[in-house]
Amino acid sequence: MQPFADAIQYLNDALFIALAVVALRQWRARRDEASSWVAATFGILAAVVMFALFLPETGDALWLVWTRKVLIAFLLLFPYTLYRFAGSFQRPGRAMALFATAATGAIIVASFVLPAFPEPGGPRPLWLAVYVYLILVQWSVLSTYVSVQLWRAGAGQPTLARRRMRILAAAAAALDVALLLQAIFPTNGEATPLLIVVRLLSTMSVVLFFGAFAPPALIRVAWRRPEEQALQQAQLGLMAATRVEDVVSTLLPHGVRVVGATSGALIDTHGHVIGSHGVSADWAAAHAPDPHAMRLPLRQGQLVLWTGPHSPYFGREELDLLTRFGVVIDLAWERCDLLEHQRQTTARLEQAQQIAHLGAWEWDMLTGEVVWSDEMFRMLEMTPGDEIPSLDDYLERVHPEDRTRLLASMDASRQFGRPFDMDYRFRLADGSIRTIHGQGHVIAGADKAPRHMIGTAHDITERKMTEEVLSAAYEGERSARLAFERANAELESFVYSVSHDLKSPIISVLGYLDYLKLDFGKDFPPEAMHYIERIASSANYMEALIQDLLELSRVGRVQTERSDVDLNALAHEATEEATAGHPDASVTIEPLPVLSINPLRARQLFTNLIGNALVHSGKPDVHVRISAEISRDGGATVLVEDDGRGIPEAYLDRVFGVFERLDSSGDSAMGTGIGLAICRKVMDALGGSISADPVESGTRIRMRFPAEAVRAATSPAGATQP
Amino acid sequence: MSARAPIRVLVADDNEDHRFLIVRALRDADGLSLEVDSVQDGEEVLDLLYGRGQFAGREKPNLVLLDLKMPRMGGLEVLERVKNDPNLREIPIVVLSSSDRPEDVNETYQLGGNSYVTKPSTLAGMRAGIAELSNYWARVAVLPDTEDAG
Repeated sequence: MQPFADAIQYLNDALFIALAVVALRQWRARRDEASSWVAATFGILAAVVMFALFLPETGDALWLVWTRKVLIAFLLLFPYTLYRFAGSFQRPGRAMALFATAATGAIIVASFVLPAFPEPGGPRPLWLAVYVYLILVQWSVLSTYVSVQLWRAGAGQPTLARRRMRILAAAAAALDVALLLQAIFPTNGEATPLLIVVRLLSTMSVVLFFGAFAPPALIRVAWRRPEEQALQQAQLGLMAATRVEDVVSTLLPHGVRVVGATSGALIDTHGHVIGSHGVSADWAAAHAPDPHAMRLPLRQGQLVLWTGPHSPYFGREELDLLTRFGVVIDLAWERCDLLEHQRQTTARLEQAQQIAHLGAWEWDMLTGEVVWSDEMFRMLEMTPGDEIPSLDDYLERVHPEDRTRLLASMDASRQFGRPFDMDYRFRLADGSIRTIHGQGHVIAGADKAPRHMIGTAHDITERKMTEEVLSAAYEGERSARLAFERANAELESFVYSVSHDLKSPIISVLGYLDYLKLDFGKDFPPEAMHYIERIASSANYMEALIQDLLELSRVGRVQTERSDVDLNALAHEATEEATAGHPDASVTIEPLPVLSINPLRARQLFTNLIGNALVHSGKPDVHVRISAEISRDGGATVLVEDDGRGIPEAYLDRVFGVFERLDSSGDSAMGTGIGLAICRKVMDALGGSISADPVESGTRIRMRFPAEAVRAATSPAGATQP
Repeated sequence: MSARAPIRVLVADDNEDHRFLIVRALRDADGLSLEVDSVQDGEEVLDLLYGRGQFAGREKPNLVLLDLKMPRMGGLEVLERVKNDPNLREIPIVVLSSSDRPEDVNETYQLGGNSYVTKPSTLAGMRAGIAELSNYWARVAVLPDTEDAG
């Protein structure tokens, strides 16, 4: 019995020392508050064990007594340091802190103040009972506190961390029980069963401490399996993720669980929260910079995890695991971005196709497999995802007149790889007909033979309809123009016939009037002769009117031959003729061009314009000036100006109409009101124009002759005619 | 030039007034012994030339002054028939029309008309024109012998 008990004791001692070494090494590696308290705890324990080994069991030398007291004081620090270790994660309450410090301080002081402890087995004085009781209270309260704290904190931690913490709690409890038993039932070193139980409890406690602080790799791997499996699952999930949101929902719950965090969030480089688990996105954004938050830097942002206070100590390996996992997250994230980019590109392409009514298709000519873009379906009034009609079904709906052509075109593509480009009509399900512009080109397979064909189909029904409407409009415009020209020709012919028929009675009237005067004039009283003169004057006016109307109709009706006409000579002749009845009028003719024009029409122009100037000026000594200039485009402008009463601005254009006269006299000497209309018609027929300029005084008629009518800019200078 | 037999002139015009004015102008023409006859349409012209109906036995004219626009038969048709008849084609036909349409003028000459004159619109013009016309045909021009031809 005794050797067994001793063996256990030695084993315990060795284990305590080994534990101290492990703790010290961990402290050196971590240098944080928790590991320093662990090192202190087991360092004390090991020191006490070692000193106890070399101290004699009995003896009451003074140095021995004091050494024992110091060792006891040291031993009494053990529960305190363990308590401080637990407290380094979560600060204890003030009452607990006060008790721990006060009780520990009190018993240490007491250890030194009290007299020497009596020999084991001897009588136990009261002070000793009180002292031992105090120790029990201090020891059990602190140890229980540690056990409960660690046990509770283990909840919600990853398996490895949870087990380590719970084992630590169990170890503290076992040591507690062992010490309690030894204190309640003191032994004198004899190998009683109780002593063996106590020592075995100690052994168990030390082993448990080992397991908690430095679990062997094999155990760690076994314990970590659930987390590793979860991460593997997450990794698989990440590979299937197509959106960053998927990455968040796949990864975060596992990531949070693996490190025993309370919550987590994925945050991009701009601080924007992509997704969160356990907390709201707003909370995550606000608490991302928390110093206690655990951050895993990623290529495009960071993974932030809010962990419990124990995670960094007990979950260190899981954090490492997660760090390695970061590479996978980066890859998944990048892939999601690429997919998103592709999705957007595809969406844009789809949208563009939709706007353009442009469908895309792909045809595997070997397998017959066909792929359509969404717009292809929509264009044919189908729903994207519907079954694509077979080639026969498709052809069946192509207009019979276009079918053969389409088939021939497709055959040419299939056999010779020719590009395909044609319009054909297609019948929709509702029976309406759409016009489709199909284009395609052939992609050769590995054997260089046509293999694939890709192409587009464009709904050009509207364009076709517009073209048809436009061409109908052009046709309508053309026929309207022809009808107008015909009507115009008919009108001119009508005007000619009417004026011609009107001529006959005028000839009769004038003829009889003349014979009346000739045969009976001498018998008539002067008043009768006056009446006859009035009749003759009216008839003459009417005759002139008819003559002008005939002339006007002739300008449009009759093709005239052109020859070179020297306007200088023409203007002089016309002036001579016109000024015959106006002796006081004067006409200045400046150098005028030579035109290619019908001489009769040219004379009509000048006779009318000079005549108008003389007749309508309102003064006998009117001065008329005829001048010309060649414009930059080679055309000629001829001006006929006078200093007469002018044309009111409102009438500047109207004077060129038929029968537009400013005075209402029926006197033939004042003109018929057709002269300027004839001039305009002559100029129109020439491709030129005639207009009246708005001038301050007098009248200025402007004639523009096109460049092709101008033969020479000037001819020998003109002269002034009286 | 020796004295000649009186010239027989046929005036064909549907307008009674014009007929009157032309006939009077011819009669007023100085120093010419003209026998003036008048009809009012193309049918009558042909009847007279062929001596049919009311005109049976009438002598053929030496000169015809022909209006174009006439009822029943127009001047151009008369012209065509006369100029296609070997017995009548020597008779000079002067178209005297109020029309100055180039088409009318051209067709007249194409059909063999001997002259085309537009009716002057004033009496003075008419008298002068007719005087000149009759003077030319009666004095200047040598006319075929229509009696021999008929």
